[in-house]
Amino acid sequence: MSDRSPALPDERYTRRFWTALADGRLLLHRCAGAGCGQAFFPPGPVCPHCGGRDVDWTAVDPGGKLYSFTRQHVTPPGFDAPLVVGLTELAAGPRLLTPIAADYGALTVGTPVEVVPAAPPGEVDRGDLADYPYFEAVPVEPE
Amino acid sequence: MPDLLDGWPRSRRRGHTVTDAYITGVSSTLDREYDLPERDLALHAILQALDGAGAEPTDIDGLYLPKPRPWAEQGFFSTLVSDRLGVAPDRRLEVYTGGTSGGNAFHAAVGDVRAGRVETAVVAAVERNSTIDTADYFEYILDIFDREFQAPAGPSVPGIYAQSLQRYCHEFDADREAVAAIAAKNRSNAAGNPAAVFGEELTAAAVLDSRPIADPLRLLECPTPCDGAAALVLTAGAGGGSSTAPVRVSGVGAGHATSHLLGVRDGSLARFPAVGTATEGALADAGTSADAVDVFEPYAPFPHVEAVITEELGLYEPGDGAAACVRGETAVDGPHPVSPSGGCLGRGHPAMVTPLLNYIAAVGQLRGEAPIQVPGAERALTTSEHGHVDGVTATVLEVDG
Ligand SMILES: [Zn+2]
Repeated sequence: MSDRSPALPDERYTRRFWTALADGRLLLHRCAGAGCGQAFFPPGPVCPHCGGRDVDWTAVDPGGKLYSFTRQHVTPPGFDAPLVVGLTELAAGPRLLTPIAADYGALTVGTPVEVVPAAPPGEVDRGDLADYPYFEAVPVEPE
Repeated sequence: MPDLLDGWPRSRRRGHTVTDAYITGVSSTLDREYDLPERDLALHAILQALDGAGAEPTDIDGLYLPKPRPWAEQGFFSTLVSDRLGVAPDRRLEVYTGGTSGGNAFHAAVGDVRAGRVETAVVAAVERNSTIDTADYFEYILDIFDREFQAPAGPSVPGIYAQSLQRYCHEFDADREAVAAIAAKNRSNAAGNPAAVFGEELTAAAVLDSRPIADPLRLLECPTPCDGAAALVLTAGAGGGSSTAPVRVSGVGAGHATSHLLGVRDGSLARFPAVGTATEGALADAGTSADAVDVFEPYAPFPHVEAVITEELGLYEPGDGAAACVRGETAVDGPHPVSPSGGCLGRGHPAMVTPLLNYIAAVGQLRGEAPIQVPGAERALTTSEHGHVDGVTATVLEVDG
């Protein structure tokens, strides 16, 4: 094994994302050092933009714009229909799939939103993350 | 510059010994429900395809299958099938990569035939969606999403494609009814295909009148799962046993995007770069171009996917793929016929089998035996995809004129 090989994480790699979220902060990853400098999500040991391995946690503004969205009339078991979900593009760059706390008819591509901690909208077994909040996008007034 | 070697068998084109793979036998069966074990459906398809190729089970030296769905009763399916067929192939594999499983199995077979490792390959697939209830299917689908970050939001497959459709209309100012026209075309094409399960003469307005599944996608724009099986025999050389025109596999290509269901990070959700990579690779391997393809049988489970595929092929500008359908350009008598078989939407969509159904539809065209025939078709291109077009296979088939 080379010196470059990382140690096995002593806990779930992404734990800090959930701990910070529970604290109301959005803690993603950013490519550091000689890498491309872009923020990315989900957090992981390799920058998906450039392949760089010098990556670090970074707190980002929870604000962004709705990139796309849908209203599912047929939903998985444990989820009430209809279910509004979409992709939020954060001002920091990354896109997140989130439930959206709004009526479908009130949304357009580009609606300003914030990603905030929230209870998950349905019943998915989250294992050891069950006690952490999930997240959702909430429309906000344009700045 | 035109490729002067266009259409030459690759063995001669490359100037060294590469064996060409030919499709010499095909078989498929498709219905809403079959009350038969997967085993019997698969064995029937394989034996019928062997008959078409003039081959016997003992000729099989390569067996390639998509791994049946997790809800299929029988595990270790390829060994069971070998045992029942009485064969001991040199190569045998089961592959599971979602909707590209059939494409990857087929390409593995082509690779082994071209390399001289296998002379008579059978590619077979079976799927029964009648055996899984909706709740269990949704649970399975939730598990293909990122369990930690995506699944708790409750996404569905139509829910993800609905979002690329939103972007398609938003970014390219595409007409929503033009997108629906693609679903109408494919379901109407299927009405002329006796092997299709969901054929119906439809207008775009009727498609948009069906109930919403995941806005803005409507029911008639979503594929209906069904039961089915298919098999193809691939042989080294055209063989003598086949009574019909041998169809040569002239090009294979694959594309794999850095994405997991939510599109690539650096680009638009309404572009599918894996399609471009895969089709470029297949067309280059065949020494030809998209313009020279006579008929397309893509894996397009939702209508805007078909539009984007024609755009990624370079046939149309982004956003114009849907309008091209309205102009009749992708109809069977248009310059670029797409999905004359009815495709995923019109035929019915057992995802493990669909890539094989696309090959078989293309073979029908090249043999001049398709129920809705593109006159004089000599070159066809098919695709398969999985997830949200995260991975793609593309294949070019030709008859040697
Ligand atoms: Zn980077």
